[in-house]
Amino acid sequence: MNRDDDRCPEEELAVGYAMHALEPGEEALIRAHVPGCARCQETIRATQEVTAALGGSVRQYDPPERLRTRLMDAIENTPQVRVAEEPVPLGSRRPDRPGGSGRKLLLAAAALVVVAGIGVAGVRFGQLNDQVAQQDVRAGQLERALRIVADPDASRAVLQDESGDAVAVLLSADDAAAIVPTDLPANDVTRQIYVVWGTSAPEPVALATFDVTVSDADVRLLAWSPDAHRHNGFGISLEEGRTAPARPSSVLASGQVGPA
Amino acid sequence: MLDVRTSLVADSPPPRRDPDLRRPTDVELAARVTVGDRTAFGELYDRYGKPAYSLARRICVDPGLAEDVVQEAFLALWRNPAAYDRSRGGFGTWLMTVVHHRAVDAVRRENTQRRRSVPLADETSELNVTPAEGADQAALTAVVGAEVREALQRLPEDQRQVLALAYLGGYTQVEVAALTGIPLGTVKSRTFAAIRGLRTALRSLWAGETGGDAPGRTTGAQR
Repeated sequence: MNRDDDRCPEEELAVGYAMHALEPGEEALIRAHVPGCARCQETIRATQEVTAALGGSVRQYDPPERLRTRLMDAIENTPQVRVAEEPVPLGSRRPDRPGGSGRKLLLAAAALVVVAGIGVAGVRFGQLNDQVAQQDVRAGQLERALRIVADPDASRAVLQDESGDAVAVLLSADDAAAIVPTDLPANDVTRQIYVVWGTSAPEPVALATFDVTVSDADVRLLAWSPDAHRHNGFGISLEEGRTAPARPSSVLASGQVGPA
Repeated sequence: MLDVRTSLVADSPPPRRDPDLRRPTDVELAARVTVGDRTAFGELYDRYGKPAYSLARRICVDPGLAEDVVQEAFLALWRNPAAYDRSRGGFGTWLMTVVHHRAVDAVRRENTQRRRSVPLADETSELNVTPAEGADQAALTAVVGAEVREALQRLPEDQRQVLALAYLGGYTQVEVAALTGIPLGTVKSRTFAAIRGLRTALRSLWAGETGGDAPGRTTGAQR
């Protein structure tokens, strides 16, 4: 943000976004814009450097000792999400067993997902296994979703909320996609729906919808297209109604494609 | 006072001494947290707990709420250490940003009425304080903290006002416009100008101290 010759018209919004001072609508706009704008990415970084220095210049108070004790106790009961820096190619770890029941596929794919570092705590796969074993009716859909997970050519985007917490992982292939909610609250399926947005276009594009329920929050197969697969950035919103609106009301999480 | 000068060398190459004796950098500690190293996590808290708590307390006012904010921010780091991406800046910058956002969310959610009752002067006075006024706080003697304040003092008053209301008050820019009677577009442009001015001033200071630019090393820790 030091040169004026290549300014982006959205830079003021980018500053407001970095300061967490935008209204939801503006925040959605800039979230959709930033992945494709290096200038605004740099503006956000620069603003955060300055505001962090400001934050450090306020009057200092020693935190109570109990805070450290509480924190160190809390991590003992807090599982970590592990995202590998260099994902191992899925093909080299693919089990030899072909086909089989949905449960077997799920176990195999769960192992692949862990190896690939997609970032879902192991405890979730245990829950996932139990759920799928009880829901043979969904085996076909799950099998397709898990084939995407195991597809070495699929691209992966870890979707993080504004605090940097991973809330879902999107896996995109040419003609299908899967989403793994890791920390998304259940939506009211009678009047709400989650929407996946492509953010590589000038305006966010609704690509797919899905639900998250309390009893069933595992891998979701998404209706997809080659055009959807071409996006490099994705976002998620929770919308009122059961269809995707023209524009997101508020983007809950977003992320860029990385190697699967 | 957050010692920014100290933090400027936080992620620098360590002194060439016995490698077993040197202090680990923030990046090294954060990397160890990714494999569940509790000692590294505790060390990061020891470095950043105080500035994080101080910022949260300034925004939330309520010390209990500030504790919750800091705990949640550090727990978020523990849950997903990869959320800190070293290629996007320093650890201190990232952590203070997380703490700020969570504190603002908390105060908007849980303490709206109380926050709104705080006189506007309280927000701006925090950024108007001079080093001498804060001399009763030992931390305020940190040189770089004074430099941040000095840079702030060089900003026009109208820019300082919108910056303070948005950053320390936790108000959105729309709310700042409503509170001050300034058009929203002016709030945005003044905020942008304030950040740009501070960025220029602080980069100059930091470059002068380190002999070069030090992007991402704008915040620091208790060392």
